[in-house]
Amino acid sequence: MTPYLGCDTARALLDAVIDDEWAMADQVAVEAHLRWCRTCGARVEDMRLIGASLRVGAVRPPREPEEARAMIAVQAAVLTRIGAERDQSFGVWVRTAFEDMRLFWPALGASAALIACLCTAVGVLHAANGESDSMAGVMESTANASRIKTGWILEGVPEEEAVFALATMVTRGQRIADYRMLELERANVRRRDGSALTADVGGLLDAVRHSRFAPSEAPSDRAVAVDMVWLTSAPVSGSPPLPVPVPRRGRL
Amino acid sequence: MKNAGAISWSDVDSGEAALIARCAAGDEAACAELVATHQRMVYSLALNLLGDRDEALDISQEVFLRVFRTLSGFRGQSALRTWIYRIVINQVRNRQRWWRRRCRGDEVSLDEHLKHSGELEGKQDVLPDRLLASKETATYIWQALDRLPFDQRTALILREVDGLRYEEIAFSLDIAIGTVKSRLTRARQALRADLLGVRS
Repeated sequence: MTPYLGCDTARALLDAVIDDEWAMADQVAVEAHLRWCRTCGARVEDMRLIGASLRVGAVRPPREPEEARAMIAVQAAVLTRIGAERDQSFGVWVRTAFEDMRLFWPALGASAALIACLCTAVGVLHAANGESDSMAGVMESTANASRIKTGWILEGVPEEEAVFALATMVTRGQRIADYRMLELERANVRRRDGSALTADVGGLLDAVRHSRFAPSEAPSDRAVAVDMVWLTSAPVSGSPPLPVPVPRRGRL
Repeated sequence: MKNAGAISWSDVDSGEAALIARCAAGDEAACAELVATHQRMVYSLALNLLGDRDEALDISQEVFLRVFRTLSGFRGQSALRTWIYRIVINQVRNRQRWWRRRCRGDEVSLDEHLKHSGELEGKQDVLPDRLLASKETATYIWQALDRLPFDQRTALILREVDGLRYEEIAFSLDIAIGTVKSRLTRARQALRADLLGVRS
């Protein structure tokens, strides 16, 4: 039994009928519908007429000789341009570059030698300056040749030449009653971080203060207090060792 | 690709596959053969869509340049002809956008269309009296076709003039098959409305 198909349903399938793209299941039902429905039948006829009109009015090139010549010209232009593009392509360029291999191996060897030289130079620079491999680091190291890594910066003098002059007074009780620094011969001695050296002389002064001396004796065998001037030289690198006092007796 | 059926290399004719391989390898004779085989199809589709002979020739050249530049990427996902259709349509669409940006208008008069296409040709399956009747009808139909949106017009031309199946149209337009059906339906309804207007 043929299933009934309404117009709305049938119209949804008419395009498939026209284009011959319908499913077999629909074919029987649509054909049955078209047998009795004049409206849908007329619609199908119109659509077939539209298709035929489109095919009739479509252009069928080329008919004129000049049009045929134009198409041949297009073909030639396409082939010429494609050929030119292929000649300019990267792959062709590479193939052309490697056609002559006579100079390839010498060039490869020279390149390898150059790379080896560069690596060696960089390694030497790196070993010479552990602080920095950069050119800026090398320049800075060269400019600050007097920089000593121990924490002191002595501008123009060896570290052991830093001289302290201290004035002290030895009491009758064999103690240092008072002391003061008269002069630091190299006032430009600074820490690496820029702080003044005097801030670190405390250890030296403590050692002086806790020193004991035999009191000077006057001709009358009476102990007297004396003023003393210390002229001591001490290394300023690292932890300063105790100064070696060079007492000079004298009356002030 | 949405719904167009996948076609493997096995669906591509072996001779066509060999031709593609030769073209991809840079064989100039193969390239000439490919152009000669498809040039008429490319030109006629461009001419039917654009209605301008010079533009169609220009598009033909651009299409084949595009074909050869991208041929290495062709994986047999469709027949070569369908793949070229797709390139033609994209090129024509780009050209029409270029026209619109320059306000040249995208309509081509029927006189101009007939001037370029010459006398209307018949098909062997159309009887002479029907052909005479269709000449005037064809005039109106093509006139109405030029007023359709580009997507509907393209789908209808691919179906009625070039005879592509839904699946091929879907691949050429990069749309789903359902969209192809709906565009064909809307295009035919619009043309039928014009036809009824002429009759009345």
